Amino acid sequence: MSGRRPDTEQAIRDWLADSAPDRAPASLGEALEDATSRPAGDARPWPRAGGQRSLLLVGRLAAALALLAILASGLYLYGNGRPTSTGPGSGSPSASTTPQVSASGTAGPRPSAASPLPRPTVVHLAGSSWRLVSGTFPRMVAPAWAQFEPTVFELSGNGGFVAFVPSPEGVASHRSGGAILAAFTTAGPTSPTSWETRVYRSTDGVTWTAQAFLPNDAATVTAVAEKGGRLVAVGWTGETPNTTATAWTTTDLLTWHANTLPVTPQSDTYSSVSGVAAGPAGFLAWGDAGASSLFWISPDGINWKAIAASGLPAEPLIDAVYGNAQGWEIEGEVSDGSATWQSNLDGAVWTRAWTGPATSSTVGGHYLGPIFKASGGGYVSFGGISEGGGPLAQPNDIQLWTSMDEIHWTLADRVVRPGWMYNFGAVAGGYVGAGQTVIGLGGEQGYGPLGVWTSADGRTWQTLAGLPPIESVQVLSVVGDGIHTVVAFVDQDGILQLLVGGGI
Amino acid sequence: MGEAALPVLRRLRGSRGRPDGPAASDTVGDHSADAGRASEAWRRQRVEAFSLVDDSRLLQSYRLATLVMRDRDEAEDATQEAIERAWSSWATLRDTGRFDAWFDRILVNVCRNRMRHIRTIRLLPLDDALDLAAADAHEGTATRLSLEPAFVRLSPDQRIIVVLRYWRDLSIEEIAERLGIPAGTVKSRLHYALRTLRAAIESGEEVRR
Repeated sequence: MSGRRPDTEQAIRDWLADSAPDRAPASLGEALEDATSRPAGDARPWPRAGGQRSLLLVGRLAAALALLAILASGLYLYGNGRPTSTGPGSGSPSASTTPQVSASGTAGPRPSAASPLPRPTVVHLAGSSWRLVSGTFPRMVAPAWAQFEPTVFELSGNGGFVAFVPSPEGVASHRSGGAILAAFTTAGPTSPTSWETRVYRSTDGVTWTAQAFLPNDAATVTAVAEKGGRLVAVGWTGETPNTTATAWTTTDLLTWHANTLPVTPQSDTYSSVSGVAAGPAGFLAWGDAGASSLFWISPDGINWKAIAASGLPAEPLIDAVYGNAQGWEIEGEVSDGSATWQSNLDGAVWTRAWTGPATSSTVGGHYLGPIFKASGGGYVSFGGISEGGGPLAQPNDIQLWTSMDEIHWTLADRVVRPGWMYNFGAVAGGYVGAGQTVIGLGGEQGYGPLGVWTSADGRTWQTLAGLPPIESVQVLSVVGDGIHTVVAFVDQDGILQLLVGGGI
Repeated sequence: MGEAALPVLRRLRGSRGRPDGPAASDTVGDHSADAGRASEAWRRQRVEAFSLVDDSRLLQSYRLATLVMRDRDEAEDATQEAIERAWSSWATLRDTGRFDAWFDRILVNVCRNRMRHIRTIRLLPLDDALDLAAADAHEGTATRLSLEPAFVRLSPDQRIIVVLRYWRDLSIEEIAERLGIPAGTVKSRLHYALRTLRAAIESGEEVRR
């Protein structure tokens, strides 16, 4: 065995494939025969139409082709070492501002002045006020497990949006005078060995300005938080599994401090940050190092320390962390449902504040989802429902939750999902959901083109009018700054595009 | 389709149009002629859908249950229970074309419920483990052996997600749809599961060195 770290995902695939049984016991056929000779319960059938069984297969083939396309395009890209107009070698370098990097960060020369970008292509959607914006950003890479991160975030302080775009474009010319530098690794077909993550800013979601490169190679941003005019971005540097938990801090998006977050000596081989939230005492980041969950706290986004959190399960399943007046709140999972925990002011002592209804064979399970301020006051969460008994137990429905304090939640309505809608955002006057439309006429259903839906109350959803069929996309985020709404998605070539609208 | 499935298939196809049991069991509460036709069509669709459950589909389900539960006896029981539940809760399937996803969903829920009631952790049957050890000549066996104890320490949901992701090759969104949980939750659970498995693999590698 070489000294190279094993590919975890491939090892898991191999292990699962090896341990799958070759034959099914004969009893299963008998069980099928027995079961199908029994009457069903007294349930009303749902109306349904004929199906097209080939659609899912077509979808999978399309996905495979998309993957090959990404692979092919990436190979072409690296094979040609193509420079980019927005890259550091051809952009507008900063002569006036020297990037500031803390002692714990990884320094490197980065232009830090805002740079104009090529004029984007803006298409107004017929029948709506929304616009499709493309041609602004360089081709992206998906650094971790072939998963793109949210990429676009709202700026809560002054409004507008910030984007962190990881791209290999410009790396070759910037580092090696045009020599080929990046290449694929075993981590995945879309993971190059190096990339640069550039920061972009927009006040309206349509016009973007390049700000600075993060002062680390191979930087991945997973979340941001703001407090007191300071923005903190968290994530990691390097490729999985050799990642290093990192936070980047700025007050102007042009000058960034990079900080490697402290970890225990036993767990310093890899670490990452999954999220960050601002609270009364500063910023709380959460992630993992080695085999342990970790929390870090910082009063200013620059000086970080790991904290020992008490009152949480040994391996808490955290979905999100939110700041509030008392400290921070965790939305997470226990063995059979959702739960919330509330911390004290310094994030070290946690108490389980609420436990959701337990999963049962009769009612299934109900899970919290992303939390938003409700347009009518209080909070709302778009969760899910696991399979349960009864004729009304519909897979794929949205479980709407409501809360007055963001801690204690009440099951509200069960809402039929209008498509494969798994990304939500709160916008002026309501909510926007995005994902993929359903193809098929009630029978076999597959994944269709990009779908965007709007709702004033989270219960009734309308399809966004005029959206052209954009195939093979992954929605990254839905964000709103109170005035504008941005749906960020990436196509099969790694090209980031935006749908920009107003409120509901 | 394998030969063993033919009797089942013939019997199911032969049953099309016959009553599935006492009429009251399938009464939908509306005794109008339209409701009766709808009920009949519904029964027919159910029979048609289940007639497509052949040996290959059963094997895939059994494999899924085995990989999640790491116990062939438990997997056999879970698959049988899932078959029974699927037949009796047919009305929860809104679109017949999504039978496979719907059945997977029932199966993984049965697995999850059963695992929560299994107090002791069971590993692979000893003979299987020995088979793997005997094949130690090829690189990666130690890695795979180190995965087994780590995997059974995962929560039921984490196990299900790992198997759906790396054996079924489902996307995050497809897993979310199967399990009825947000995609973000799937990503989060997968992240934690991978962290545990990665640590186990590296621990095994250290032992080997």
